[in-house]
Amino acid sequence: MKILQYILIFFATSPLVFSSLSAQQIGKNIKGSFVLQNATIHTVTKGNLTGSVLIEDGRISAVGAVTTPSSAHIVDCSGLHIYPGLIDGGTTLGLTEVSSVSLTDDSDEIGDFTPHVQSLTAVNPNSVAIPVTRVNGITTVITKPTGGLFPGTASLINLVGYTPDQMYAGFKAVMLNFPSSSKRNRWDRRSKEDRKKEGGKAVKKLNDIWKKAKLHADLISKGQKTEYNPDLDALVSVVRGQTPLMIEANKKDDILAAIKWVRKNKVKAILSGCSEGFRVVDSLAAAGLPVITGPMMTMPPRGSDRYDRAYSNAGIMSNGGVKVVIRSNQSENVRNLPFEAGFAAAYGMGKEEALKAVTINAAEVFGLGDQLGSIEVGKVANIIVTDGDPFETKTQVKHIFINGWQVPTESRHTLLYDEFIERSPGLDK
Amino acid sequence: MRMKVWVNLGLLIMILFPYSSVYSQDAPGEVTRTYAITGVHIITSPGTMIKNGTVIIKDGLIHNVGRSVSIPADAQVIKADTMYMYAGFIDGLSHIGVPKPKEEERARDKDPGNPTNKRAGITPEKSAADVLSAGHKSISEYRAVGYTAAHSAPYGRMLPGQGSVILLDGKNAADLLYKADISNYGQLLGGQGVFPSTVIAVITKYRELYRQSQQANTHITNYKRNGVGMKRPTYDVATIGLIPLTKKQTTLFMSAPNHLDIHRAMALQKDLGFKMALANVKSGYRMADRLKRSNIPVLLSLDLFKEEKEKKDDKKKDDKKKGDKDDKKKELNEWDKEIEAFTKRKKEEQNNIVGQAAAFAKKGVRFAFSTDGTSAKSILGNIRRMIKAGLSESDALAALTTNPAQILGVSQTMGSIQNGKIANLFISKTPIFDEKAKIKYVFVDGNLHEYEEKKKGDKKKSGKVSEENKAYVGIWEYSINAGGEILTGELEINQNEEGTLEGTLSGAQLDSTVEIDEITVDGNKLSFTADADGITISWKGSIDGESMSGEVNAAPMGIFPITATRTSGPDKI
Amino acid sequence: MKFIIKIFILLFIPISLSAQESGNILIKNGTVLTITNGVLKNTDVLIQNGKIQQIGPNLRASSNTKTIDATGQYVMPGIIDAHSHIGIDAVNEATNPVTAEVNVGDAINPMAVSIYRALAGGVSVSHAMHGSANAIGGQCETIKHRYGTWDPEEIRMKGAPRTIKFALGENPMRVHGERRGLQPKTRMGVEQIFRSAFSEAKRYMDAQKMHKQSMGNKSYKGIAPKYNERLEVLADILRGEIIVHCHSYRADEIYMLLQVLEDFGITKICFQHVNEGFKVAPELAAYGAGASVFADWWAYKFEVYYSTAYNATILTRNGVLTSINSDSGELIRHLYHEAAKTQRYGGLSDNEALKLITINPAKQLGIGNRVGSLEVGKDGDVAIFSAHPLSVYTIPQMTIVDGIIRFDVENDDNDMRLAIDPEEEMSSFFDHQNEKNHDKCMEGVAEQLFQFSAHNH
Repeated sequence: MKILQYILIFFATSPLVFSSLSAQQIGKNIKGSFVLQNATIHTVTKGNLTGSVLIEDGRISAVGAVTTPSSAHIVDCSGLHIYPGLIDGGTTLGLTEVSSVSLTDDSDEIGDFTPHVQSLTAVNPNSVAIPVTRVNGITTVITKPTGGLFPGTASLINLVGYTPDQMYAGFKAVMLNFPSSSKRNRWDRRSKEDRKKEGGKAVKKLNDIWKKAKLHADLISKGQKTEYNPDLDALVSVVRGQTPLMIEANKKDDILAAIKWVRKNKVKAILSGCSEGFRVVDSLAAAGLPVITGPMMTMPPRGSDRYDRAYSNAGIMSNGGVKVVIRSNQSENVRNLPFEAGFAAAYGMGKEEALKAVTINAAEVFGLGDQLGSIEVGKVANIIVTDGDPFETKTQVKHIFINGWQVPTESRHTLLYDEFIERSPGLDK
Repeated sequence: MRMKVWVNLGLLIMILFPYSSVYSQDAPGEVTRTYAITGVHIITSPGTMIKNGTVIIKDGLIHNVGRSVSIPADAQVIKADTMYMYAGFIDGLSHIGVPKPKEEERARDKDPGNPTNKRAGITPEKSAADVLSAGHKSISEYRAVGYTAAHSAPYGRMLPGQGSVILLDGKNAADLLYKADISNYGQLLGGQGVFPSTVIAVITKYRELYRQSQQANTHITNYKRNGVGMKRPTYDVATIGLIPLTKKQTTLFMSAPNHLDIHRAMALQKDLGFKMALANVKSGYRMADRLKRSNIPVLLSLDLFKEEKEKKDDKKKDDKKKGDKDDKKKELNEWDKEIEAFTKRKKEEQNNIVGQAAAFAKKGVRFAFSTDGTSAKSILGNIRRMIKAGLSESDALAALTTNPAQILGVSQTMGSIQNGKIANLFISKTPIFDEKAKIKYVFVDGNLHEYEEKKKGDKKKSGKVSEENKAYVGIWEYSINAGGEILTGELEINQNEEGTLEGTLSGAQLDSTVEIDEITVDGNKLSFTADADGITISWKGSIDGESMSGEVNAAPMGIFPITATRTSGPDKI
Repeated sequence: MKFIIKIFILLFIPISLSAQESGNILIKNGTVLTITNGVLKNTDVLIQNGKIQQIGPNLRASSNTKTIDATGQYVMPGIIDAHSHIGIDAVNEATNPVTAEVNVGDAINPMAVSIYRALAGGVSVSHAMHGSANAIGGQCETIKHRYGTWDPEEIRMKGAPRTIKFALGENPMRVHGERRGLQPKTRMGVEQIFRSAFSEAKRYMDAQKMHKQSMGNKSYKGIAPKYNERLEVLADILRGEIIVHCHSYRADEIYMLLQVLEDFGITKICFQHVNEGFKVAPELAAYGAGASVFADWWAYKFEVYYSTAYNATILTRNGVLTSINSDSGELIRHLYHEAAKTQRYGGLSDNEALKLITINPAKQLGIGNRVGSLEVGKDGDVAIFSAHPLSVYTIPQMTIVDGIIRFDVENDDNDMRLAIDPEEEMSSFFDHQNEKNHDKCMEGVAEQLFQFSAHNH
C-alpha cells in the first residue's frame, strides 16, 4: 500500500505524467538556482569546455568548475551540450497569430509614417507560437512592425513572461523600409520607369520626413515647444544617435542607396534584408554596417540567379567582412531559425560563424554584447541544453532557461503529440 | 471664336498630315475607272519582275500586264517611271474594319461557373461581316502601307466568331466584303472571371463544344430524316455555329502567340480533327519541324519586340565606371558581367524571334503574316528587320501576298498581278523593302488612292493646346479605391497634331503603360476606355479645376471610385 | 546538364531531345540509401537505358557509360513531391465549385526555372496539381523533371495514373460562399457538393448505358445524353480510374469525405496537407487513405491553428501511408530537410523519414512500381548528396532523371532559365525575404477574382 502511494507520488511529480494529465496545458516556469552539470559548454566567445554552468538570480554566475549551492536544482547534463539561447534578428512573433485572420494580425498599422507604434505593446505574451518557438532553442527575438515607410518601433523580447515588461530584453529600433524601385511581388506590373519614378518620390518623402525630424529634435534640444507630433517624437532619439534605425533594403541598388543615405544623414543604422547583399559585399563591408538577413530558405532574388543564392548570401557577406545576424522573418515558424543558420553554415558561412550570427553577433549589434549571446559569467541566463548540434535537424532541445527561468520543453505541438500518438478511444465506438 | 479654332485645326491637319489620301467622299467622283500605269517595274509575283511595263486597270480588274500593252483611249495614264508595282498585301488575320466593341457595363457575375456563352466569350455564330464599318480608321491606315485586303475577325475571347475576307476600300460594309465567313476565329483566352477563365478550362471547353456540335449535327440530321417520335433538337447558337467546323467546311484560325500555345492548339487539333491554321505567332521558332510535318498553315505576327537603342546605355555605363572608387570596382565588374551575360541571352532570343520567318521559309513551313494589332506605321520596318535576319525579299513578299491568298482560299483572284485578278496593287517609288520606300499609289478593287509625300519644310509643329482641351490635358495622378485596395498611377492626356485628345494610363496594376481609347469630353466630364491587360476598363470622371472624381468600371471586378489630381497641366507643358 | 542546355541554346536546335530520353550512368562507391532494401555502403549503382540495371559492389560498365565517383557521398532515389504547382501555366479554375473537366496537363510549361530549382534539391518527380479553390478541382499531372526541353510532352510521366484535386474547408468556402454567395459557404455545403456531383455522374452513366443498349432496337428514337466533359471525368472517378488527392485540414472534414467516398465506392484517396490528419489517423489507416503533409506549416489560417509538427510521425505510427510535400516552388528545393524535421518532431528513423519523400509519395501517385526506391528495374532517378540527406548541412550534388544528369552542382551556373523574355531589361528582382509563402494552392485565384488584390493565403 505504502509502495503504491510512493509510486503515485513519484508519477505525479514526474513531468511526463504531469503533462499527460493536464493535456493542452503547458507546465509552469520555475525560478531558482540551477546547476547544469557535466555538459560540453559551447560558450561561443571563449571556446568549448567540459563542465557545469551555475545559474543564480537569473544570471550565469559560474562556468566550468562550479561549487553547487545547497539550494540549487541540479540538472544532469551528462552527454549533453550547453549553448546560449538563440536570438532571431527579425520576426513578427507575438504580433501575428493567424496571418489570414486579419484581426489577429497586429504587425502592420495603417499609414506610411508610424514610427511611434510599438511592437512591444502589442506582443501577445500568450501567443501559442511562443512556446512552439522556444522549444527549438530560440530564447530571444526581435519582434517588429511591418509595412509602410516607417512601420514602427521594434523590440527585443525574451520568450518568457506574461507582460511586456517581463519580456523586454533591453533593445529597441525604429524600422525603416527603405524606398525601393523593385517589384513589390510578381503581380506588380509597373514598368521600370514607373517603379523608378515612384521609388524616387518615396526617397523624396523620406528626406522630407528626415528634415522635419531633425528640426523637431533640434528644437526640442533647444528647449523649444513644438507642435504635437508623436511620430516625430519617436524619431528624436534616432536623430540623436541613441536609437538605431533598422533599415530594410533588399535589392542591390536599394542597399547602395540606403548606405549612401545613412552616410549622408549620419544615423546609427542596422541594415536588414539585404537579399542581394552578395552583389554589394564590398560596399557593405566598407560602410561598416551590420546586416540582419534571412530567411535563407527562400527563392534566389532573380530568375537568372544561381539556385543557391539565398542559401549562400549570408556566408558571402560574412566572409566579405560584414557582421551578419540571421533572422527567420517569420511569425509562427520562428522555430526554423536553427535550420536557417544550418543552411547558412552549409552554404559557405561555416558552423562557427553561423552560431555567432544567431547569438553573440545579434547581442552585439543590439548593444547587448555584455548581456546576451554567450555563456559567460554575469550574462543573462538564456541557455539551452541539447543532445547535439542545435542546428542539426534531428537534435532535441532538452532544457531551456530564459532570463533565469526554467521553461518547460512543451508547446501545443508536443501536447497534441502526447494526446494523439495513441488516440483513446481509437477506432472503438 | 470656336468656329475659327476648328477651321485653323483643319488647316493644321492638312499641313501636318504628310501622307493623307486624296481620295475622299467629299471630293468629286472619279472621271474614269480605267487606268494605265506606264514605265513601271512590275513585280507580278514574288521573284518575278517585268521591267518598264504597263498595267491596265479596268472596271476594278487587272486588264492587261506587259511590256507592250496598248493603252485604252479612256484610260487615265499614270506615269510611274522607275517606280515599283506590287500586288496588294493581304493580312492573314486581323480586326481591320471591325470597331472594337464597347465593354458592356455589367454587375458582378452572380454565378461565374455557369455564364451564358456570350458572357463566356463563346460566340462562334457571330460574323465579322455583320459588324464591318467602312469608315473605320484602320482601313485607311493599313491601306496606306500597302494592304489591300484582309482577313478580319470579330474581337472577343475564346471563340469571337467568323472571319471574312474584306477589301480595304468601300463606301459601305457591303463594298468591303469579299468573302464572308471563311473561318472560325479562336483563342486560348478565358472569359474574364467566368468559366472558362483559364487556359486549362478553355481547352476543355473546346473539346466539349466540339463534341456537342457533332452530337447536335447527328441529332438534327436524324430529326430531318424522320422526326416522328423523336425529341426535337434544341438550337443552341454556339453549338450550331461550330457545326461547319466539325464538318471541316471551315478552318479554325487559332491565335497562338508562343510555342506552348502552338503545342496546345496542335494537341487539341489532333484530338478533335478540325481544320486549323495558327495565327498571331510571335515566338514559334522551336516548332518549325513540327509545323512543317503537320502542314498546318501559320500566320506569323508582325508585332515584333521593340528595338533597343544601345549606344546611349553604353556611354552611361562608361561614365558610371569612371566615377566609382577602386574598392567597389570588383562588385561593379561582377554586375557588368552579369548584365553582359543576361543581354547576350536576350539577344539570342531576339535573334530567334526576328529570324523565325527566315527559318520557317528555309524549312518550308507554310506561312504568311498577320498584323496582329501592330500599328500600321511599324509594319514595313518590322519586315525589314526580318529581312535583315535572313528572310529573302521574295519570301517576305510571298508571306504578304501569295501565301495569305492561298491560306485564305482567294488565290484565284488575289495575291499577284495577273490579268483578270482584282486590281489590288500598290506602287512604290523604290523597292518596297528599301529603308526609305514610299508608297505613292494604292489601288483597291480598281480604286486609286494617291499619297503625297511630305514636302520639305512641313516640319511638325507641336500644336498649342486648344482652349477646349485645356481643362483635360495634363498629367493626372489618380487613385482608385478597389474594394479597400488603393491603386495609384498616372493618367496622361495630350492633344495630338490633329487637335484631338489622346492619352495613356499607367499604374502598378497594369502590365505597362496603355493607350486610352474612345476619349469623350463634355463640359467638365471626361470619359475614356482602356485595355488593361485584356480587360476593358471604362473611366468616367468629372473635373473640377485641377481635381477629378468619378468611377472606373473594371468589369468583371466591379465599379470603383476614383479621384485624381492634375500635377502638370497644359500651361506647364 | 549545362552542356546540354548550352548546346541547345547556342545552336538553336529546333528539335527537342527525343521523348523519354534516357542515358547510361555508373555511380561508384557511394553510400546507397535504397529505401526498400536498407543502406549499402561502398556500393555502385548502374543505370542502363534509363533503368537501374544493377546495384552492388565493383560494378563495371560499357565504355559509353558515364562514371561518377560518389565516394563519401550519399546516393538515394530521386525525391518525389506529391504536391506542387511547378511546371504548369494555370493552377486554379476558380469559377465553379466543380471543375473536374479541367486538366493542368493541358498547360504544362517545361521551361519553368522552378523545375531546375527543384532538381537542385534532388527532386526528380513532382505532382503538378490543380489548386484548391473548388471542392472538385481539376485533374493533375505527374511530371518528370527532364529540364532542358521545351516540349511539354517530354516532362509528362507517361503511364502515370490519372489524378484529380479535391478541396475541403476554407478555400472553397471563401471563394464560392464568402465572396460570391454561392454554395458552399460551410463544411456542410462542401459535403453536398460532392454528393450532388457524384449522384449526377451516376445518372449520366446510367443514361449513357441505357442509350447504348437501346441503339440496336430499330424503333428506338432516343438520343444520346448531351456530351458533358465534367460528368465524363466524374464517371471515371466512380469507375476507379482516377486517384483522388484531397486538400484538407480539419479532422471533421476529412472524416466527412471518407464517408462520402465510401458511399460512392471510391477507394483511391490521398489526403493533402491534412494538418489534422493526426486526429483521425486510425480512420485514415482503416480506409487505406494516404496522407501527404507539410513538415511544420501551421497557423497561417484558422483551420491550421490546431496543428502539430508531429503530424507525420503520428500518422506514420498509426499505419497511414504518409508523405511530405512542398506545395511551394521554394520548399520543393529542400524536401530532404523537411523530411528530416520528422526526426526532431517525433523521432522517426532515417529510413522512415526518407520514405516520406520517396517510396511513399510514389505509392500515393500510383507510380511506386517505377520510382521511389533504388531497385533493379526501376527508373534511373537518383539524387546524390554530400552528406546524409537528412543532415541540415548536406548539399545536393547531382540529380539524375532516367539516367541523365539534370543537375550537377559542379557544373551549375548562373541563369539556368530556358524561357527568355526578349524585352526584359534584366532579370527582375523580387523581394522574397518578405514574401509569405503559404498556400500556393490558391495561386491564380486572387487574380481571377480580383485582378488587383495581392497574394492570397
